[in-house]
Amino acid sequence: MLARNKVKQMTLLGIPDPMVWMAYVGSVACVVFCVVYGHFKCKQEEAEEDEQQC
Amino acid sequence: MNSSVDLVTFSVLTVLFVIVTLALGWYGYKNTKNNDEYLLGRNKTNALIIALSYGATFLSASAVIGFGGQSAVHGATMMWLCFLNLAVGVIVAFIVFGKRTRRVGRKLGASTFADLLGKIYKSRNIRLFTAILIIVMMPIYCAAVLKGGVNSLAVITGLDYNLMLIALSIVVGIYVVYGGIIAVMYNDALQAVIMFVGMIIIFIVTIGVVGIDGFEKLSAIPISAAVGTLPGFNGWTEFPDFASPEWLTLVTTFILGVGIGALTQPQLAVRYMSAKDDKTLTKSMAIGSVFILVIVGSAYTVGALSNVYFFENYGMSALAYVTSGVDFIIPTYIMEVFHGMTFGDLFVSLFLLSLLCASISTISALMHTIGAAGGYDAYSVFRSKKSGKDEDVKSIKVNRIVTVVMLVLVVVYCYIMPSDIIAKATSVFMGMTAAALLPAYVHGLYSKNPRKDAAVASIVAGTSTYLFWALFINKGTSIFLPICELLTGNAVLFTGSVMYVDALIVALPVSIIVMALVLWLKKSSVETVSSVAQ
Repeated sequence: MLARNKVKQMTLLGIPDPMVWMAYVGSVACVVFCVVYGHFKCKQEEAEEDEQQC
Repeated sequence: MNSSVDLVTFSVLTVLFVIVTLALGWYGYKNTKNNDEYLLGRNKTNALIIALSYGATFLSASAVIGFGGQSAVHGATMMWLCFLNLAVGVIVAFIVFGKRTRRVGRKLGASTFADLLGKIYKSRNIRLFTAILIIVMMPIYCAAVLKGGVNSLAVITGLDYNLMLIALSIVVGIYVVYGGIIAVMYNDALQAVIMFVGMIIIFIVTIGVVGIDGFEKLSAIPISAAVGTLPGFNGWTEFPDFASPEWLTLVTTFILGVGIGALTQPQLAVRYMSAKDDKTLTKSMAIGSVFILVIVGSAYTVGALSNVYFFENYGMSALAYVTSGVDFIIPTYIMEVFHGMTFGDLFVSLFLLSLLCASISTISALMHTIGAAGGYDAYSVFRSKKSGKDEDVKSIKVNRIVTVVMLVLVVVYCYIMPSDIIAKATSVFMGMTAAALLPAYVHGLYSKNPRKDAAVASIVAGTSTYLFWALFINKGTSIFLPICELLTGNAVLFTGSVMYVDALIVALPVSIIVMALVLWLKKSSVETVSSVAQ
């Protein structure tokens, strides 16, 4: 019963195999990274441009 | 299959689309004053255009129909390709390659990927080889995408395949030949928006049809219903057995072949080089990642879940029902699902337009790249060899002529290619360019003194290994050119698991090792000479 519960707990989006649902998690994580990285990097690059102009 | 689309609705949408497309082609034509603007259009676009153009070029009918269809056969494991598309095709591509490519390309005055490599290594032969690789291999990929798009159109609309093939080729030909990269990129952006809207609608409708518990239902379908899978398949929501034929095909050919191959795509490298500055590329990366997740995430998920629809309605898996082949699964599914729905015809037409856009955006980029490879890179090298001095022949006219000739060749290929070819042709092209050029590209971008001999050795080793493995060992790719069968009477040289291993898995490490070996040997010989001199 414990093993069955453990398997159930590993299910995400109705997909039982972590090796499959991790692809979904990883994909979303990549997009979050791109957006967050993009935001901070752009700010940094803008700050550098302002410094150069001064 | 249920009745075809309402041709009136589709025709109206298509006519509007073609008008806007040709208008953007005209815009490109008016803004292209010289060869550099025709090839690169530097500073003529912005982050949004670059992002959408990159995404639309990267993802074609191969993503939606080809790999979406493969996802219906092999299951949700295909989402790992989505992950690699993002992790490698966006994050690594933009951060590691994109910015450096832009800066080095600008510094050297390079206008194409082949030009970039040639100028980094000061080698006409490397430039020529890269151009020839593009001219020989890219039309195969292009034909696969064109064929995929036209097949879907023909199946769904019931219109004549030949008529659609010629019409589509003419529309693409006009705006690529006359509008250059500016027309290509602006049209890509338009097509990307249509693709984005189309795929979101398909995804939402699919969840509505199969239910929020769609994956649970998919897990419940008996494996015995599977068609087209290989030993090692464990179900549509389970990873296949490690090193089984199913695992090898899925992981080495579809996932790694395309996932890694994205890094050395000439038509994508040009997008980096067209950016005004690094900030533009950074913004493009963020926008592009969202676009790619929606398009391929939807396509692969819908593909896998289509099995639920077919099983619940017909007691069969997707490929068992759609007997015409893998590339017809998604179009058939769409037609069935939207049949009888309110505004169903409009959605089908929109989806069809999305597929058309997915094909056109990639085909136009590929044709532009092929034209540049022939009309600029190869022609410049021949002229340079003839005159004895390095020259870049900047003739828009020559580029245009080569593009037209190659487009005709691509159309011919469409007639002689086998079916169910889109995903495989994509993998072959991307795998070949990665095996041949990735180590040289990395070395060229990041080394202070890039060594031509190491690059040449790596390119030769990678190319020859890839070709040998693809034509003589791998069962899936030997069909492209059945030389092994002609020589030996067998499709491949060896049986067993090895025939499911993709050529990239072998050729890329060989290419890297050869480069490292040559660099080490040259470094050792320099050190030996120095110590002797002392």
